[in-house]
Amino acid sequence: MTLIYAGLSLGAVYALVAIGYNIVFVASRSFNFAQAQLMMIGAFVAYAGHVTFGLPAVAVIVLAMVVVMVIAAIEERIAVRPVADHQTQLITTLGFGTVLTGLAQLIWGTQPLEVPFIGSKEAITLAGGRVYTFEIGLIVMAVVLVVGIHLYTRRRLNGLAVVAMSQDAEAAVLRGVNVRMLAFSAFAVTGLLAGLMGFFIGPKTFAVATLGSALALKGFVALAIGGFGSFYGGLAGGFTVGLVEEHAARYLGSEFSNLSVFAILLLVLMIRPTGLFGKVQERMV
Amino acid sequence: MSDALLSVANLATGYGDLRAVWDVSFEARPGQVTALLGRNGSGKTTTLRAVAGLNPLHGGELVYDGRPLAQISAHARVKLGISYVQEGKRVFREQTVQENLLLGGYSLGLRRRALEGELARIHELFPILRDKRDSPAGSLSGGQQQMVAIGQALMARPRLLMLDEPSGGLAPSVVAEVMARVAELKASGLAIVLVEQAVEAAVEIADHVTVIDVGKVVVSSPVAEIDDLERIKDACMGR
Repeated sequence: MTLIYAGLSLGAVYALVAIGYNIVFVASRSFNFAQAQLMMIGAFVAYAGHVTFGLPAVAVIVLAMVVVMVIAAIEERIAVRPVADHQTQLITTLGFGTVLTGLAQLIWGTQPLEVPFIGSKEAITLAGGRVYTFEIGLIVMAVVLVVGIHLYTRRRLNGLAVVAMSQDAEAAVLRGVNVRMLAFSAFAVTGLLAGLMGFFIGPKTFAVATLGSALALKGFVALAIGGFGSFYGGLAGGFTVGLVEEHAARYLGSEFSNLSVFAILLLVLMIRPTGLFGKVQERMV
Repeated sequence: MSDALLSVANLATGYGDLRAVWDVSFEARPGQVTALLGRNGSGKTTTLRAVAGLNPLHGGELVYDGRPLAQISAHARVKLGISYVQEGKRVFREQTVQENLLLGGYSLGLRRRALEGELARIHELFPILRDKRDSPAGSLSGGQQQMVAIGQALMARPRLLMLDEPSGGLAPSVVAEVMARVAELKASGLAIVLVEQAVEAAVEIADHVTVIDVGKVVVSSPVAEIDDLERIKDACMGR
């Protein structure tokens, strides 16, 4: 069970990155390749709030969320909005992520910094396995976020509008939807969530400037396994990647963990090219 | 003073810098149907897109309810009461009929529960949509999708309804039903601009006919003054 808990909590981290990718993808059919770097900044801000400024946990969470939201909003204005096509946005968001990594190295250095967690620092025994409370927090957060987003996109009018935008942005405009504003809001929300996620993943991954690139790849693999545009798919993909990685490292050796993850990715894509929960996009011509 | 709700004067528009419409003028009045006719590629759809705010204004004037539209964004025009039903049944295919209709009322700024009260109006006009409320819009027949598209537009409580080839790709019996609903909407006081390839069906419910060819108006006449439909058909063929 301990191995399963470790896999699920690691998978939750990947799932949280995939959720961030998905929010922007659903809203604008584009990818924000700086998403994982936004989470990395969130982890650093959480570290600064906790350790440098000695703020209470709630203030640290709010600080991380606001700072990363502002950075995401800046990214939308300078690296996304001025760029006309989605392909070029892949490059500009990747560039923005690289800038964030460089800035983090300049400000906090290259050594991993331990981000404290508000809960117990001791592992607890649960159903025969050992698990840290922050790992439970990560798993719960990923599941709650996905369920929350699902309910938002089915029950709230703005949620329906975001889904409609992803299918046909022009038709959404003709229903009175301010597509630009909603796409901007989606970016800002991913920043907000990335700040929150940074607070939760920091204790597991540490705050380190290379965190972004490590998470970006696995988050993308989680998304591809689960299916682009599907939040439940991102969750399932994240857990799959985490569990495979932990089990491969345990039974085959750590050098096989990445190999096993990509083998599973290939297997899933061969059987279901759209991913586990992905749908084939229909287009009327 | 003109009683027109929409006045289009010497419109020039296109796609980016590419001009497709050079000089188009027409008006739309409450309780009347203005038919825009013409062959494929004549500029009818481009004209509607410009009125909706999707295409840039290169020249001329668009005035709606006494207000110039040039500086008003597309989504804000919906709030003013301009609803545009695009050709090709552009519904949100993955969302249910009910969700499609609710999205139609997005511009009203109401809460979802209040909007659900508005659905009765659409269900009265298209009863089949009540039965299909939980079906994905993409799973419906072409005629039913057209009803969803028109229903969406009507959810916004428009004063001006622009319909782009509502009969396109539909069986004749379905075309008759859609046109009957358009006639009802006209009787309810809506100003309607109808783009159609089916000349006879359009003229039957229209009050004014404007024929466009190569981005310019070649015929503009009240239907009551048309004594020879062949002349209109010839103009629509570019002859």
